[in-house]
Amino acid sequence: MATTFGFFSDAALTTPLAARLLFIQAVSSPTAVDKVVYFGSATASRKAMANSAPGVDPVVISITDAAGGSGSPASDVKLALSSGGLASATGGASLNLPAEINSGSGGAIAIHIRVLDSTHAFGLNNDLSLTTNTLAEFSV
Amino acid sequence: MIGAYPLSISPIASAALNSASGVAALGISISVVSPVVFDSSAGYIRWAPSVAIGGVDVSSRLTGRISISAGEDSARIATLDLVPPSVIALQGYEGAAITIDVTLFRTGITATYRLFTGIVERQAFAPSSRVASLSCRDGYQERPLACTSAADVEALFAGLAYPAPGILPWNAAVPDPAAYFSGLLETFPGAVAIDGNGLWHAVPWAIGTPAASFTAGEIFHESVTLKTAARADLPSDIHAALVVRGARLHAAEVALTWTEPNFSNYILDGIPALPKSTLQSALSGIREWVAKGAPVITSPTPGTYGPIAGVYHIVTEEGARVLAHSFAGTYYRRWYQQIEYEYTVTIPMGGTSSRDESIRASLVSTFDSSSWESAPSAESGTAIYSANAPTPAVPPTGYEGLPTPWPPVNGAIDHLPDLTAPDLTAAANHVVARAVRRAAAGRRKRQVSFARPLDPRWEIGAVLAISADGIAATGQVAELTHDLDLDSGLAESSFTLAVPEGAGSSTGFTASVTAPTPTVAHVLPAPALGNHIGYSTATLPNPPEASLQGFLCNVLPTGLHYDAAAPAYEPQFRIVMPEVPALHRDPLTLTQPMTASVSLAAGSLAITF
Repeated sequence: MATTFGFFSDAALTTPLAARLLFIQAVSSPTAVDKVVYFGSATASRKAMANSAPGVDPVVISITDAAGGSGSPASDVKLALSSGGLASATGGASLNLPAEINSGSGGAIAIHIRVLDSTHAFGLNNDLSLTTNTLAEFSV
Repeated sequence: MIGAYPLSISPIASAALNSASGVAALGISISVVSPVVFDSSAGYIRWAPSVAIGGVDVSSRLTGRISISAGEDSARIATLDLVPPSVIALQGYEGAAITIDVTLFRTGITATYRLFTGIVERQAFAPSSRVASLSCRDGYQERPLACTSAADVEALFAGLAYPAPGILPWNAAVPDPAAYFSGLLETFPGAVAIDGNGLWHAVPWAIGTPAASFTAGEIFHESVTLKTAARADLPSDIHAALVVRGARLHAAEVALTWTEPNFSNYILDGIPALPKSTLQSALSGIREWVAKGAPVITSPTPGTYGPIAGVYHIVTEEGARVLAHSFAGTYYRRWYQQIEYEYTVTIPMGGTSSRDESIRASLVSTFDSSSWESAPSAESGTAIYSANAPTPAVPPTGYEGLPTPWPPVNGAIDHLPDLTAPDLTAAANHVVARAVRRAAAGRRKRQVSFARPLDPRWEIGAVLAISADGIAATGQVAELTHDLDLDSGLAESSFTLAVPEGAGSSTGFTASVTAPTPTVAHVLPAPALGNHIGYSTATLPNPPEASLQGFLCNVLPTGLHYDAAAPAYEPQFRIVMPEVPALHRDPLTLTQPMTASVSLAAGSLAITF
């Protein structure tokens, strides 16, 4: 059974992000655009952990590039757990979440995303995505 | 035979709980665009919509118009027409997730924007044309409803609303997140909306440097309109009042003393001596006042007094035990007074309407004043020592046995134990915030609208400027509409800018209230307890009744000073305790100014003919 954990557009986890998250960047002299999404599960009494070592290894969100060498590089994206953390985040670096994440709005984790284009080439680049490590989901 | 078997513990118990696994993913699209695509100079631009319903691209099935509209504090709505490929597809639209993108093309340039993310609310199908008209909505109403805690709702305002549990409580037993959201929204100096990506935003009302300025060549001809605020939106003043209800606790005490008449009165007039039982009965009959410690009642010294004209007054040992010679005691009274502090602030709106608006909220302390007032002192019970009581290091005040708090003797305190200073500050901020929002919302009714070629760059809250058709204005986007007509090729964006009057660049305030310290000093007159003898030549014919306190008795007909025409008294020991003045007894309302500084964001507007 697929995990119920995923990305949502609100802290109350009412609206799953079913479509790609679109960032607009000016071709010349772009300015960084920040957005906040929420990671969690709207299903009651669930807990997510890293499948590699549940409760020990952290849940990790990585920036994956499906078309290395074309489109946007992963380094154009920064992740942080707070808006203030974006300033010191490294482009393309993965983001560690807690080892155990509870479902429900109380367990939702805000993921701050900053995009700053480095390609300076017109187009719509769909090659990047945020991906978690393999999650093991438990009833609690 | 008993065998030995190895014991093994398997992780089966925990493995059984592992009910799902997998990877969660979120795609990121980066649309690199050039502002040239929005350039209104000579040339042409092409556009193409991209609509996905339930993850299926239905762009090729579109027909007619696509319209998307958004506004402050309301849902983003989209309508579109399409020709469904099958009955199954048609039946699957309702409730499905939908995204609407648009890509603009100009020579060598493309730009993709997301205009809408939401769900298909309902559909209307015309069998003759096989066109389905879909009405779509974002999750604006659902977001607050799904909140399970006050913190969840407050997060929707990015910490910029002003919760006040004393005024707007969150009921954890029966949560009503929609009502809590509405209450908080009234305090938010800004607007909430969901953008084209489906992300919730709390946008402060602030008008700074415009992100873009459009001249007449960039705006559709004759699309500029100006609408001023209605008189009803602009009262003369907005008054905000925070009423804090609590109890003022008073304490007062008086000293009572009395000494029996001179022995000559017993001899010459034959008046009776006062039994202790009569005195104690009178003392215990005092209402609302309580003895502080034990009153001291002394007995007359046994012996023979006189003679006067050969007559003696004799006090026997037995008689001394039951007769009163003097009395001294302190009596206290504590009572509460309902008190209201009304903190007020006025925001001048400068409107042409003579009407004023009022915002009022109350904080109420739940302290049980009645119980505090009526609980007797534990020291009023039976004393422990009959003689030689130990001397305490710190002399007792006499109030130790009473429930706290103890107001100062002959003074008062305002007691609101369940309303802390942070509660008071939060309530003041809540009330002023409501007034500020109402003031700002009224001024934001002055609006300038215009339309231009499709421009999806701007969301609710963006600051834009225009200068066209004699109108030069800078304001904040309060409403927007995108219209795409696949038949005619029309691609238009309409914006309504809030252009409030004033001079500020942001909407906000500071407010503070300080609880005053009451200055109350009670000077209640102690009753003068004397000896009043009736049927006497010395009895006053018309004495003020209030002065007749203490021992009341009469001369015997055989007495030296007997006067049958003089007033006679009912024998008694009379005590009338002082009344509490109405000023310190009746409910009291005190008006206190609230310190507040208010700033309302303002746009700019100039009209030339």
